[in-house]
Amino acid sequence: MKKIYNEDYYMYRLCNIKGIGRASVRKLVDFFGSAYNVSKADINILKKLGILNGRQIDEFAFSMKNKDSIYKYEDMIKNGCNWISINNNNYPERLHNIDDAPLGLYCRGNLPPDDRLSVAIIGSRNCSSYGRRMAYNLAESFAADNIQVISGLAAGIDAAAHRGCLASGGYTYAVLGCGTDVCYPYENLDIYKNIIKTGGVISEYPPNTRPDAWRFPERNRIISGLADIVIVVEAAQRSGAMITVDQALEQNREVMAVPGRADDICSQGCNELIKTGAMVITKPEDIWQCSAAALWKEKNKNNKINKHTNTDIKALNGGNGNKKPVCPTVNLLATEKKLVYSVLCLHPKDTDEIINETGLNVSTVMQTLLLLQLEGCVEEVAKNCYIRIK
Amino acid sequence: MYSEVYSVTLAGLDACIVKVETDAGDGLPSFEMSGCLAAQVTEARERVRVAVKNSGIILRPQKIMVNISPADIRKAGNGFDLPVAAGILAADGIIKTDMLESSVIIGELSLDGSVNAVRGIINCVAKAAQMGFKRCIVPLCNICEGEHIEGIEVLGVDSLKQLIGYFNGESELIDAIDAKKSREHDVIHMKNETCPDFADITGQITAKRASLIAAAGHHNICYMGIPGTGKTMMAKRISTIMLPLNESEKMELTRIYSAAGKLEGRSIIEERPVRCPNYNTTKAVMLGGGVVLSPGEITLADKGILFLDEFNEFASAVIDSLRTPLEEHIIRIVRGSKEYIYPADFMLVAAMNPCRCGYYPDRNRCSCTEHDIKRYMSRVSKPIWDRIDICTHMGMIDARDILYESDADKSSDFYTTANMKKCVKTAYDIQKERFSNENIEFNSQMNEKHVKKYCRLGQAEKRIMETAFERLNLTVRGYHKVLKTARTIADIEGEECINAGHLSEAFSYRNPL
Repeated sequence: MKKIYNEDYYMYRLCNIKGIGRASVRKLVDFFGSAYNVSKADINILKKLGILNGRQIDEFAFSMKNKDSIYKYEDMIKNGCNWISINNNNYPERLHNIDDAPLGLYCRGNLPPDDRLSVAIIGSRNCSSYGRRMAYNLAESFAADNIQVISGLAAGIDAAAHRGCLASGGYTYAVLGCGTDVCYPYENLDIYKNIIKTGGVISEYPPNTRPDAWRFPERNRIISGLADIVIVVEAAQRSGAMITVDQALEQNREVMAVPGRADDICSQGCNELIKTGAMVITKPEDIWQCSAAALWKEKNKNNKINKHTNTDIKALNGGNGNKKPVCPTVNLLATEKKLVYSVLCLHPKDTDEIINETGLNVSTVMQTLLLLQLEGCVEEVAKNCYIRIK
Repeated sequence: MYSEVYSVTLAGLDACIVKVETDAGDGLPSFEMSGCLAAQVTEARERVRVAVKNSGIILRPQKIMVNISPADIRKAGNGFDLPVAAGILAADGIIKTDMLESSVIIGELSLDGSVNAVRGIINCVAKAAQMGFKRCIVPLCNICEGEHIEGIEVLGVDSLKQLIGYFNGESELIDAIDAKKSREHDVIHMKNETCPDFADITGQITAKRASLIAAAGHHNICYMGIPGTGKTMMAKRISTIMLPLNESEKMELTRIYSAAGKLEGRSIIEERPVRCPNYNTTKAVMLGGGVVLSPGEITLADKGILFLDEFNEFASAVIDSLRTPLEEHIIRIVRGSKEYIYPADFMLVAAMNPCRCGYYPDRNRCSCTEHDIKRYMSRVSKPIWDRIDICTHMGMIDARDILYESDADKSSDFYTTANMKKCVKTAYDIQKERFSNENIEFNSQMNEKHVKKYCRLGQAEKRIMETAFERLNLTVRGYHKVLKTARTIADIEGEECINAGHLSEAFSYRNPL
């Protein structure tokens, strides 16, 4: 087989040697200049360098002789998973700037382009309906503004952000803590499939890697690294989202937080962030207060090409926000509807509470709630517990 | 000498007349029994021997052979001691045989010769009456069960000595009708018990309304909410707003409870039963079974309520086994090549938590993951959810609501047992008239054809349905369920047509899956 392999492949091979970690590979590549040079390096020089220990050198020598990795690499590409090494021109510019940048990224779909404003929306998996709704709404309108949304495909806030972005036809990217061919959690398979079409699923780990808990904090640095702005929607005091925030600050990213009620456990992290000086975001437009966002807007004033393509996609998808199904009995119930709608908020209320607060009888309340639901103004988040969604 | 005595054995709710044949004659002294007998029947040998001795009768040493025919029916239960004893005494010439062939004898013997209670007396007496026997001799403690059967003399016996005296014409036994008269004083006292009222439950207007609808149309209902919000109280009260039982229903229930040995001194079941099996319940207990076949919880809840608290903590096999009874209102149990059919026309009332900790969607208290919540809910399978028409949430009650509750609490004033009973009555009457030509009784029993015929929608309602199909992912089965519930809501309000209000209220009782 005569085929010339590029730098990407050599980097792939280096990254997949058993027992040799990221740090060692980075030192080797720095020393020799490229992954190709490392592969061709003399074992005796390597021994003298002292970067690798004896066992690692044995593994290195073994894998350089072994041809398996070529087949593995080709299989992977054939299966639709690409590998972009740190020396590739397509490697995201943003990641070059962070410490401990991944040496390469496995990716299904595309990598987030550098010229689009990039926002990471993060938060807890066990979120409230309020958090889920906020994440969804923010992502939805960011997508309309041609801002790409980065998140982690986890349950809760992450999923809501991806969903919101996809709903208005935007570009969204998921950074996984497992192989790109593993959809974890499995419930989000629909998101996973849709993301690949327009955005991309990205991971630092080779295909088939299991979602082990220790990988998630590590991948969080990529989420914040790929973003210009990190938005925390709902996070408890000690949570994965707060780890991401720490990393975002180290990477010099701007951090915004969605405030929550003072006594909400789910929002404690966010409120704490605000206390220590994070910017508050309550509506999508607040994003322009960030310097990164403002800068990007300034830059893109002249060329609006991208934006047009985005609105096209939105039109194709039927523009979820514009078309409301019209309900026939709207006028009959106008006052009751306003009354019921006014007592609802993003925190779920059950029918008894609504009845008590509005003073209407059971059947009127139920009827009104159904109409509001059909109009898409209200959502039933749990059995007979409702929130307002518009 | 040879003798024949008649007795009865239970076969499901039905009974079967059997003949106890005894032969006592020459040979090595022994006592043998035959005729497809269960262990507790063959044990009668020792009990009878000792009971006869302790009654002061000395049997001659001889070869005694007892056969219970027909030999192809398995005889189980404890009621054969007395007929076997009577058979031996008759074969030995100690009692006269002239009355034996027109009598059916049932009873268990103690070693001292006294007669103990036996289950299923009412079923046995009914069978004996049907087969044309003149009298039925039953344990004295069971005599009240015999008082409702006409055309047969039911006599209570307290000891073997009494029985001997009766057959020899020396003494009389207590008749069921006399026993009833002497008992009547006690009955008055028992009726004074206070009835639980819906007004005892604070708040929970939605759940009360849902209970009313469920009771009116016999819809299966599920309450979702944290423990301690009154789910059990609610379930116990549903039976009080249902219409009183009619005579044939009472009789059916009494037969069931007698066969299960659960009459507990009552002569007839007057109230709709409420059964609350624990969630550790096995399939056999739920459906019926056991060493000696006895009716299960679903049969005991016949015409009444089967309340399953912590619904999704039941073993899924147990819950899934309810599928057929919920559809057919009977349960078939096959035992030894014979099929027994028990009625199981119950209303299912289930209660469950929305998640493991019970507080979802209040995220300040609930830390269950979404996956856990989904899994917790899906422990009840879709086919079962499909058979539950109404599902409602029961929220937390504020402690202040209980502390400062005033009598003039306007909104919950309506939902008292008396008012709700009236609503149910209205709905019952309408349903009775509507289904007079059909073989169903309640809205919940309507099939697709009935739904098409009786649940016509107007133009506006059709449009609501259309939007709902689109936006709320309604399925065809879900569509029928909503219509059935809406029909009942319209009936409660005494309205001919289902309007948008009824329809949308029915929508909010959809189940969460």
